[in-house]
Amino acid sequence: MSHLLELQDLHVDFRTREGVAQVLNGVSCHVDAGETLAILGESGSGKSVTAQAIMGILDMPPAVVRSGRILYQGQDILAMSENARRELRGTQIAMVFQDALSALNPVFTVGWQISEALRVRQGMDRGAALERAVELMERVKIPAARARLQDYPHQFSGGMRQRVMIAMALALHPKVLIADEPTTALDVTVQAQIMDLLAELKQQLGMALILITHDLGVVASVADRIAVMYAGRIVEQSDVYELYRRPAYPYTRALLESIPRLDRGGEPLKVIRGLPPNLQRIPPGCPFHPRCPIEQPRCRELLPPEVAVGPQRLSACHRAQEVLNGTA
Amino acid sequence: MTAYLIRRLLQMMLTFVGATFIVYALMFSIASDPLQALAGDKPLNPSQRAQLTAQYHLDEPFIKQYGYYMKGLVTGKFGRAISGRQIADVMAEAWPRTLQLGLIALLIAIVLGISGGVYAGLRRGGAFDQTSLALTLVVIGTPIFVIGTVFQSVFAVELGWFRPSYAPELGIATYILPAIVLGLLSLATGMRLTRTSVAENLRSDYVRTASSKGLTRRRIVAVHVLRNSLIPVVTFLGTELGGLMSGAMVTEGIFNIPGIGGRLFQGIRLEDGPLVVTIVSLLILIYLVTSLLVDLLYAVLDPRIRHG
Amino acid sequence: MTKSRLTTPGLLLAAIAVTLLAGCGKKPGAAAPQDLVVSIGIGEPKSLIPSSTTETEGAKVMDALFTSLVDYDKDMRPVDLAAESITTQDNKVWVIKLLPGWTFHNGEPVIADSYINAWNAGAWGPNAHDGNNFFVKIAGYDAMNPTRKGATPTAKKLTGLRKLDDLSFEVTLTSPYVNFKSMLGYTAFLPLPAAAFTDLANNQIDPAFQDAPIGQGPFRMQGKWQHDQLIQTVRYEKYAGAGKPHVAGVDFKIYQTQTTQYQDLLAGQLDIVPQIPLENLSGAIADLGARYKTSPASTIQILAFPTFDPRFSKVEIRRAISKAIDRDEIIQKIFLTSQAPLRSFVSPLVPGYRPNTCGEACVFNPQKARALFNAAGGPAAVKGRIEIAYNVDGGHKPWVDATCNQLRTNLGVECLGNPQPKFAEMLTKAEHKEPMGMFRMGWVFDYPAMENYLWPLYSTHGSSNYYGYSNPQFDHLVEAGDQAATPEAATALYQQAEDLLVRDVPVLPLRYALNSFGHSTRVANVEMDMFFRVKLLDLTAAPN
Repeated sequence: MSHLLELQDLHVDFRTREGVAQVLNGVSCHVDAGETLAILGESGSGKSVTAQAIMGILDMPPAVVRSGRILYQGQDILAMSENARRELRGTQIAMVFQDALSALNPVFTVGWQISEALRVRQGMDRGAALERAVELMERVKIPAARARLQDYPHQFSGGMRQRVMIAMALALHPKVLIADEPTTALDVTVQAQIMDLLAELKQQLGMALILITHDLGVVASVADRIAVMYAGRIVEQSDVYELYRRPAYPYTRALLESIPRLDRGGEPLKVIRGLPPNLQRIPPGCPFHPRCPIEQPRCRELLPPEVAVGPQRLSACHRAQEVLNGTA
Repeated sequence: MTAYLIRRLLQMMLTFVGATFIVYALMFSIASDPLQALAGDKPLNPSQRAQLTAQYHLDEPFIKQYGYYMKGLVTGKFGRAISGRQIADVMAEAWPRTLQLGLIALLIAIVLGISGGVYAGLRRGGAFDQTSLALTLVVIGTPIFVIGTVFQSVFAVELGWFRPSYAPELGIATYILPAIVLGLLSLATGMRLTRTSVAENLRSDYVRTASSKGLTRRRIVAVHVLRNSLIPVVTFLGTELGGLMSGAMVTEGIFNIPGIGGRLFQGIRLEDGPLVVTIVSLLILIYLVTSLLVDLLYAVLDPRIRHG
Repeated sequence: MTKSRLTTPGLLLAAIAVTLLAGCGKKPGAAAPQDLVVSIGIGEPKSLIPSSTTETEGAKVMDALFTSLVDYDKDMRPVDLAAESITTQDNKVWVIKLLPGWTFHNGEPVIADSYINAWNAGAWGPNAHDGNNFFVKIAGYDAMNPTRKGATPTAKKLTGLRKLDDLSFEVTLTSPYVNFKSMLGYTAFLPLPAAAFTDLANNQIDPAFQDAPIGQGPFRMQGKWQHDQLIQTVRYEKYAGAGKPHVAGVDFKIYQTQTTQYQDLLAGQLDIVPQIPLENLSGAIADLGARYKTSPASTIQILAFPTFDPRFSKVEIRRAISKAIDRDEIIQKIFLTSQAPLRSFVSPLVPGYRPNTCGEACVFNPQKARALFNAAGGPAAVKGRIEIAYNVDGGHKPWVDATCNQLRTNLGVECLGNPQPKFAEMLTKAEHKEPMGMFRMGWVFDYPAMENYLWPLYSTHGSSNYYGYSNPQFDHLVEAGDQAATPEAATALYQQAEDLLVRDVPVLPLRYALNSFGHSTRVANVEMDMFFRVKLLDLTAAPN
């Protein structure tokens, strides 16, 4: 049986005058209904590009999909016509962006923006669409929703604005919801509320949720599975529990070690040395090798393949087993 | 909003009175001998001079002359221009022509400037974008007098598409060529501004949001991008109307439109204080009203201003 | 809403295109010769009341609406036109008999009162008519024109005007004036119908009259004066003059610039451009061929030496400057021969004109000029610098600069143009005796008489003698000429006066103007008179 959404060996380049940057280098992953996949990585790792590639909202140019497939319900959406792809947006796959203030159009009321898709895509009349917008706003727990229908984005607080974004994404009952760093711009208490809201909605609506984040702490409570990205590749995939317990990739391990933890009080935090690679000049061999604490000569020459290191677990490290076993 | 409007209107009135005073004072200070200016190269005989001096209060101090003028303005009696005609008649004939010219020029600038700018913004770096950039530079670098004369020679005299001069029997069509000339600079600037604004807005996050809603590109551009891109353009073009009115002077001269420009020119030449001040006051008034309208429109277009 | 917003520009463009198409290509079609309405370009007239029309634009229109008492023959002698006879015994009391059968356009007969009323109104000070000064020679003028501020006139009518019968009246001058008949050709002396007045006894002319003046000329007003746009006239069928118009009407199209007139002529929208501006001249010669013409005009251009500027007090310096100017070169290079060199102190158009009265002083000779200049003190005598003041609004810069170049080269003295914003400002400076160097002046006659140049320009109290030349002998000769018994005797005295100018060189004669005009292919027999007016009665449709 095919997955609800599946990426197969996706390659994306950014072609600019300065040269070609290989931003995605063979990304493969999948998500199913009712499941939350977290895509984790530092900025420039390709996680947002992955999300945009799925949505089909990459800026082309400069972005070019070099190869690979994105299967939605078994169909390759990259092979579809632009019109057919557009039909999928919102109704099948929807997205919540990271900075709601800039992602919402400043000159239209939130009611108008939430109801826009309903009017345009479903031909609802204005009144009915606004009614539905109120329901959606209530669903994402915006207090006094009806009274705020005519307000503009800048009149909302950050958390409320993000709820508006979510309401807007939910308008057409998507089966997949991609949330791209939905809480980055928010303060910590609000972050948790938004995460809880997303988890709750996923549960209620039976959607697949792809959560894109750089924050391991955020995903722990929400995600079912995690895909860790580095330099345009998924370097490790695992379910959350296993990954936290026994990471199978040195980068993941370093990330985990850099989180302050109550149970390891007193120990100095570990910091990952070096900088993420320049995507125009990805080092040969394993792209992580210049920063890797357990790097070996072969890491400089051979690109490690993704190998299964357990049930539902993949790692793209030459020494995956050793990392997993804690022997490296 | 009402309080804001009242405040603005009061400001306008003060500006208006102050401006008329300054213009009147300027006219008064440059006027050496309006009667001789009126007579041109011919000498003026003493009895005629005595009569006209008394009629126009020319021998009285500045503040009294200004007083007479303002009294006339308030009571709706503009008085006579030095050339003898009722200023009210001159205004009633000339203003509608200049207004029509200015508004058509503005319309041309708006329609072509915005549509051209949107097109160029959507296809940045394309042939149209490059050509329009080059032409814009030419337009900005060429005095309007030269553009007017060239357009007149080429499109009216050589090609015969238009009349070289004002022809009231053609109705509104007679303003088209002069309005193109007059509006060209605003058009060029407006087009570049729209292009930049559109290009910038196309890259903005909300466009991405809109396309993730599954909207067509056409709708995204026409509704989301255009509405945002127009904010700076409207502000610019709105304030241009005042500028176009004063720029009409040269265009009217070339195309012989009997509008306010020619009257103003004549008034300055004849040192005709009341005429010049009346024209300039009305120009100021138009300027004030259009800036008020632009500010209100700005608030309508950009809710952040409204609630800020 | 959004969809229509995108298509609105398209609709507008289409609308513009449609109006464009409707508007273009409507060039005047061929008309039957008698039906031809000729359009003539003019500037906005200042006034259309005869006694207040002293500038050329209004005069062009007045010439269509009115016919003056006299015209001028080939030799510029006055001949009767609307008058049957104009006679005098002593040049002081003149009897004017009118031709019978003349009517105004409103049907009123033209009678002696038509003239008497019009002249009284023109002479009445409080009316402040521009032509007021033309009545100064008629007895009783002073009482109607107090010069003291606040004073009221003591008389409302000229005592010198007396009606003899319906068709004749008598004019008494304060002193004999030999040129009075010539003077009567001037616009100020045209008649007015009773309909023009709201209050005859008080010389009050209806302010609305000039919007549709009623004359007795070959054309009558069609509608009103459309300010800054158009004055339309049609043939007056009951015109009593000897000549009759050959065209159905004349449209005076009002322009702000002569260049636009010329563009309209090229585009077939205008028939006659009475004066082609200098910047279009070279093009006009090529574009119009035989339809480009010139005619003599009475304008003379002179450079004046202010007597209050000690730099020019030596006559040798003035002569040297005159000899250092190559008039012919400037005329060819700058005026493209649309002007002609002037080497006398009056225009060639007046009776009594003699060519080259200026003689040696106006002959270009750089060597002699330099020698003369150096002998008189050289550059030091003019404090190292000569300026030529001019008004910038008259297009004088090119020739002033060229003249300065010549002086610099030929005299070895620094010379600079001294631009003044307006002519009036230059005159004000001259009145206050502020040194500004030499300054330019032009003079157009009002009627063809030597005196019309000599008195205003060169007599001690001349109205346009801004440079302060004063020579009692000269004044005396001109006055004697005015009071001479016959025109011939007057001319002899005027010529003696001019000879004094040759000796003193108070001004440099430079050029006299040729009028350059052009016309469309629709009209023929286009000629101009010396007042810059198209000879309307000569105009015909062009043969097909």
